[in-house]
Amino acid sequence: MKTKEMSYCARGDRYAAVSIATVLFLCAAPAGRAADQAPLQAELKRVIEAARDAVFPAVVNIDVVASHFWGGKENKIRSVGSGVIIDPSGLVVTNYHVTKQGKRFRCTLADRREVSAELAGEDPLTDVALLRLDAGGAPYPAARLGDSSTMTAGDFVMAMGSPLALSRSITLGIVSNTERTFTQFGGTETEEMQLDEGERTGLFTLWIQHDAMIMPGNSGGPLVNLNGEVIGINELGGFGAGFAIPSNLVRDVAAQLDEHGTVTRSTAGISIKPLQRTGMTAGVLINSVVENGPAARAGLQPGDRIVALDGEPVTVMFPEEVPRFLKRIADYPLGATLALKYLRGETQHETTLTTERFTPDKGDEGYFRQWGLTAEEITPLIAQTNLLDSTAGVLISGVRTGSPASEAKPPLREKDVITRVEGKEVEHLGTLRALFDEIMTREPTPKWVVIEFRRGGERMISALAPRPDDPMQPPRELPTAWAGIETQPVYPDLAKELGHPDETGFRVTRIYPRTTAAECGLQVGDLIVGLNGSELRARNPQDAGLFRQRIRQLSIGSEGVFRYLRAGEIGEATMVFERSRITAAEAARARDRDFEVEVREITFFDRADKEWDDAKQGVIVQFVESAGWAGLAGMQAGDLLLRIGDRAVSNVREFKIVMEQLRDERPERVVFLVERGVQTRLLYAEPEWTGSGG
Amino acid sequence: MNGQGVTALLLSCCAAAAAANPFQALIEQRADAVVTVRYVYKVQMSFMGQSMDNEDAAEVYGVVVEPHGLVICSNMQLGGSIAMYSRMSGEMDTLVTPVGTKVILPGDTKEYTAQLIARDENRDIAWVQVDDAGGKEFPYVDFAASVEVALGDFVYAVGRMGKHFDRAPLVGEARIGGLCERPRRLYASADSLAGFVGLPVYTADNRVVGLVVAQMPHGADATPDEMELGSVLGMGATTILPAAEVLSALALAKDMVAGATE
Repeated sequence: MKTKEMSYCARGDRYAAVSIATVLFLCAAPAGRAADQAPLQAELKRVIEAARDAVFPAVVNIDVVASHFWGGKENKIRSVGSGVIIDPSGLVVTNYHVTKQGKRFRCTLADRREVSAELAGEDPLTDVALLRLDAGGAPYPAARLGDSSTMTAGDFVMAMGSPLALSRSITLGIVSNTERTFTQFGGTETEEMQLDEGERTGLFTLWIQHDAMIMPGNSGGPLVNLNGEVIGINELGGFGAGFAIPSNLVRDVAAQLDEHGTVTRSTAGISIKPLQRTGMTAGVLINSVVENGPAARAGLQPGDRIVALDGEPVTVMFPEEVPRFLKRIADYPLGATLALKYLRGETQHETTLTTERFTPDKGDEGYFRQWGLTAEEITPLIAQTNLLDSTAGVLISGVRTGSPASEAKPPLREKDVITRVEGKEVEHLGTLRALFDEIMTREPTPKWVVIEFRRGGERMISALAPRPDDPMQPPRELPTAWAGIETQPVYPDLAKELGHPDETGFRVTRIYPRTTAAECGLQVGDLIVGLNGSELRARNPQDAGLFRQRIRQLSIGSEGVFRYLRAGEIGEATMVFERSRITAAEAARARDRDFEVEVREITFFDRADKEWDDAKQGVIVQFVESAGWAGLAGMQAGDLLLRIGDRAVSNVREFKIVMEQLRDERPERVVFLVERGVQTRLLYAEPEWTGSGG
Repeated sequence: MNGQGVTALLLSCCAAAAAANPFQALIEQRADAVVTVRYVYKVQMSFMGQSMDNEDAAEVYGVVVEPHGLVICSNMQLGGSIAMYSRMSGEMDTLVTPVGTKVILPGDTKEYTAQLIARDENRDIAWVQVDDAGGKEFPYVDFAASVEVALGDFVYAVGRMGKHFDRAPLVGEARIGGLCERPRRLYASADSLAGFVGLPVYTADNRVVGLVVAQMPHGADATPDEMELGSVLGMGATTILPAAEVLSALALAKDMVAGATE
């Protein structure tokens, strides 16, 4: 059974831990034996609580803001996972899939303190990551990593973490299996697990399977034995089963991440298959050989069976032995020479194999906004998978619809490999970033950028027109004659109930203040029955728009004489028709890319609907990216932004000025004062300044 | 027979030929003014404080109405129909904003950067102005030289086929089957000119009658059943805005852009 757990994106309230141990003792027991079991239960409770107390203070909730790239865009995502502090200096172990592409990490400790953290290193192959808490808060409570090899099926374990973003939670269970591996259903071949497409994980892992309930949010949290030791890091779960990475593996990886920021491994360039059901009983069966890899150069082929490694007989019979063998190879120093004996058919051969570095499956990825594409580093695996002859260049991982890249001549596509820009070679992502930054900061921005790229077996060339980042002001609707009133049609049925069955028309429901309508003498409740000598009758629903249509046919500034019915008497009111007012869709706006928020001017209708007088100044938040800095601070579309820091914001122009000042000042924290409904709110944003601007 | 008589005979023959088959003359004289407007638009939706946005690209056909590159096309087709998006998005606040507009002339590979400068949702007209024509004078349709038509008269629209067909000119024929006064003065035809929305219609002798438009009621003006698109289009009739109305709207648009009435 393959199960997979993803870290959960949630902003739940946080709840105190619950001692699940007490649940055990609520289980029914035969009444006659309760007295015998009481001391045993009490002792078990004490042991569980001691183990809990040894680790619980070191458990952290991790709040991550990450960048995910899809659709040719960078999308900020907020997610929550778990971790455990393993060193008083503030080293936190968690899963790589929790921290992946993270831009900001915030850890909440057991005592509710929030501490910023930085990434110390990540290892996708084991799905382990290491964070480093802000040194200012050290020493931190730390848990001890135990010896996972001492665990056996049936041992009690506790899972600690933040399931469904409910921080500081504990569940209790037992170990179900200490060397779980995943095979294809009914088969013997270990299933290749992937975090994302093309990113392998779990190659060296034999999971500790248990039944302590875990859910999304538990990722990266500790699995704890009754000695109060962390014997695993929870990674996967579902259908009542949880799977933790053994602490012995975590320990090795964490040490390397702490020292080097990465894990160095060797590879022989082979994949292997257990001998189970092959009829063979000895050796390590080679399933495939990486082209031009160490094994290929050593002359090995698929179907060969390695029978001795450095003079020692080796056999991989069962799926559980695959990760151990692969880890043994991975632990060799880079460039180590391995003496191999292998069988090809019935003939034994000897060879030597020199290991190489195990390169990451996926590299960095970046967003090139003004071109409308995302691109990623080409790793050896990506090159192999895409039939590329080298890792030179960058692979386009997404093209935004309607973007300059999609409109280029010819359009660029996902999987194209950019090799040159304006004649300059693009070796890797960093080169492209440098070229992009240089081009986009030129004055003026070039009209065209020539890009050379590979598509399949073709070498192609395209011209891309970068789009400047100028925020577009919405086009204006054509102004029409406008009367500062709202009306409702009064049809015959309603007219009859109102006592004037012969008089249908349009009942005044609202008169906007500070308009010519407010001065012409009309009142709310008047029934308008004529305009400029012509009747205005609402005979049926098809006449619903008649009032507006008649007004629109007139000229701005012209006079209209309304004939109305009020308390049974006919009267007349003369109104000068004004120019139609700007709507929210037409209001001037500004967008700030650092905070990912768009604001617009307050319109006449905003003031009328919210009963704001002219003294009310500010800008209305039109759009806010939920995982952008403003969104993370709690800003919402519809808020009225009043102040930024100590600077009042009266209109869009002032907003732009203040945001520009902030970009120069780069404060650690920015406070927004907004009005939402009848309340004001202070929103604290902690931006990471990138200089992308507005 | 003298020279003038020969000339008169020739002219009358040409007129007769054109009247009998106006398609060729219309294509020759009007097709060059039909241009492609390519644009990227952003749709922003907000609901209960949460926002999302998306971009998409599309193109429509429009007609040049002034030689320095002023183009008109259908506002609804240009993605500017807030009413349309509001219907689709229900309770969400929706905003559609073009973020990049280009005008492409027939047979010309050059793309002229342009701006959407004004919209008229009521009349279904959008105005796109080429940024820098570089002194070029575009073939255009002069709506001032127009004529009124009556019930039963034939009218012709000149448009283009799709990109796949190299945007070959196409003429559509319709007959005036109705006259409307509400919501505004419109010609109506039961013959479908749906593929020519945003483009002019002419008489057989090549005089401008008006502009094919889509007419959608305002949300506030419409009854619930009118909010369904099918009922708005009624029996599938084509509506044509008389040239005089187009001119009136054009004058307002130019005033607005010039800031004369701000």
